[in-house]
Amino acid sequence: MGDRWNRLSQSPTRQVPPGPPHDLTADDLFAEPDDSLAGPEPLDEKLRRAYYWLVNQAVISPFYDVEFSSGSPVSFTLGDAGATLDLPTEQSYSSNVLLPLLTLAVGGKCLLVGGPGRGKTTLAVLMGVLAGSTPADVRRHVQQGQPQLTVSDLVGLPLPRDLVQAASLDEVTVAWRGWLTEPVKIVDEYNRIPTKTQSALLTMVAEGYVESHDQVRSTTPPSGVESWFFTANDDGGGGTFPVIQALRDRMDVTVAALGFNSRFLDELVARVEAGEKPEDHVPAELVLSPDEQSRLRAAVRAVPIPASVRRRVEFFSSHFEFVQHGGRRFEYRTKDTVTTGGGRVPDVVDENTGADLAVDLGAQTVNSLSVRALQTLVGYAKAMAFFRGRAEVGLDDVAAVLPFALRGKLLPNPQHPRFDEGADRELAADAVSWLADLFEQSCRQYTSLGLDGDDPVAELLAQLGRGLDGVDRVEASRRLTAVEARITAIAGAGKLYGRHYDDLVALKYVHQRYTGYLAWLEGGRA
Amino acid sequence: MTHRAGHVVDDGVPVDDVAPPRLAVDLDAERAERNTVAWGGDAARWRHVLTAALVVQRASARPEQGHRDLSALAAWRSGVVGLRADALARLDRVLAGEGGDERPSPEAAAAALGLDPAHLDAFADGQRSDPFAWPPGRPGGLIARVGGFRGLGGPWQARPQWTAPLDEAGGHLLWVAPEAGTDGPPAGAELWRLDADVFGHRLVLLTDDAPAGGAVPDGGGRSGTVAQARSTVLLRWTSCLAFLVEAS
Repeated sequence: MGDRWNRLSQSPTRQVPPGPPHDLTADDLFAEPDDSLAGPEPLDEKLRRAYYWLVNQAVISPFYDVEFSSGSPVSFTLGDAGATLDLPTEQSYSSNVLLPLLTLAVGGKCLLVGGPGRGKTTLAVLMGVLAGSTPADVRRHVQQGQPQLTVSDLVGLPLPRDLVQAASLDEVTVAWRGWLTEPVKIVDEYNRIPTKTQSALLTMVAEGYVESHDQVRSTTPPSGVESWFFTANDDGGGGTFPVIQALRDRMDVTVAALGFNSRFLDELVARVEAGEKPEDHVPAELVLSPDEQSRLRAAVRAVPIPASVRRRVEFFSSHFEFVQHGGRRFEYRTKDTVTTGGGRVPDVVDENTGADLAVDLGAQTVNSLSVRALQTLVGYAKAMAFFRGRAEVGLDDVAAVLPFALRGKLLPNPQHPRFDEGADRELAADAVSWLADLFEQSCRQYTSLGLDGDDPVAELLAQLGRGLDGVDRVEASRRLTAVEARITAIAGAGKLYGRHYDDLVALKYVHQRYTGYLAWLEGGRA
Repeated sequence: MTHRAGHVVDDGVPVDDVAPPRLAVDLDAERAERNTVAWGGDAARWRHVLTAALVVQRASARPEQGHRDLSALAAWRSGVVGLRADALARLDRVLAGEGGDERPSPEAAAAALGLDPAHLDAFADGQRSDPFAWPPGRPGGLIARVGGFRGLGGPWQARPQWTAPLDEAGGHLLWVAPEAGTDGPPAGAELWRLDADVFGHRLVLLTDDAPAGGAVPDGGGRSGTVAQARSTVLLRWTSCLAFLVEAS
């Protein structure tokens, strides 16, 4: 039975024996191997082997919804409601296994949503075991969300003796709960936790420490990398207690635990008969040591994002901040101005009769992307590229993680005609597909606008970025004129979209820098 | 049914789950098994054939002799292609009766190779010129399935798209890439070298960024013919495995 669990993918580096192919002898067979030739296993290989062990041996998940294709995948139209099934040409992955694993790699926060019995907690527990904890410890340290859960239940209690004898709070010793410093922290059904306890949890998640009776404890494990896994059976604001927005916003990725495929019942039967749990059989060679965890995070962060990919992410994020009638001053024409001023973004979007709603991607959302959401997107795109063994982040890596990183953060505008009629109506409930489609539309716009080859605003920013050393008055004036000409060109187009808003704000910034520099030059000369 | 990498001579040959073999006192069986696995051999098969060979040897007049030779033959039989030349030289000395009391009996050597003793001479004769010689015969021309998708235990994340024989028996190059390319291997493909014999094979990654068109980097070997390679590699668009077959 052990063989069933311990079947591992062999990495190419492990299959390359040391030395040339034809010169081994019987004496070599009995000699001490030269370990210096082997070298440590690459961490991306280890991560991939962990993934394949998880999907092939541990969890029964035959879903390949994170698709990668070069060229056109074979596609089938099914049924009479426009369903299509694509067969990707490259290796594709199960989101409900891959995203938690990437969370472990980057030290992130993952929310697993789905009905009861879909393996959410099992997956989280497996991540804990992969991070080096024993299965028993991981299971013991799972925090079960329930309506009576107090802050003390979560973080620990002050010692009663100290409470009686202490003259001040700093003399009180707190018996901290053991789970606080685990590398993988699991909070089950977090939408059943009372609001006050959620606030304590938020401090831990956001700041990496916990406070009780004036005592502070860091939640960082020895590796310096901690990942959080939350589960919930509802992502629409339901549950015993509504999740506070700040805590919800801390979830780096949100992944749905997919259902069970009835064709794999035989494997389930085998497990029932054997009475086995996958977390008790994680192969030792897949477990990440604290040193490996910190090296893994550093290696992921080091994956570069080429300018061409970064530019498309910039373009995507530019759609969502601006709303035409959001305010009076140009900089304040944003959805945030509307929301913080007590208005309703959908109503303000409806007022904008000048823009084409089919082109204005920003009209599909009621909010914009936070800096945190963008940081998450960048981090997970790097992790995806690292996992796939790529030297740099590709557009497909960004597209693959974007729906999971922005789910619950970039919210649809329910009054947008797209969600109200036609074939796209189902996107109102399917956030992942909608976000994937939104990014695809944005990339199509980017291409049709020819921004890859001709991006005057990027050129002006790059010119400024090269510094002002040696730029004389004439050149500075010429650049100011170029900025103004660019603004005039945008103004001449008539219709204004989110991408123009970001460009115009950036052009104003460039203009300010040159204006200040010119004033300094002229002042210096005088 | 999902095909996995393996050699036809192993198909359907049972391997018992036996205890580590007990070798002569100066030989460390545990270390030999570790090395066998590190060189791509199958530990269970090594134990199985070596245990069988030791049973035969211990029934002979020199029970504690020849264990080094038998271990090498068993490691070769379990898939360590790099031991072929040394093991074949040892087999020749056994058959020639050279080496005196240090050599194992021919019957024990046959057991270490998983062969009927009646086939041992023919096997040695054939192997001197053809690394795929196997006197009991193989059904069809297939020698081995090599490579495979990484998620199922193989080394590749994409399919092998192009292949070329080298000028050594059992030597081939394989280009692995998501796309086939039109006029030859596409730029950026992984280039692998395959060295195979009847019992085992090794795949060595030469570069993960091969130039377009099939140029071979230094150290990758010299281009040859199917006749020189004594085999050819067949690729299927439905499989990440490459199929090594006898040269017709």
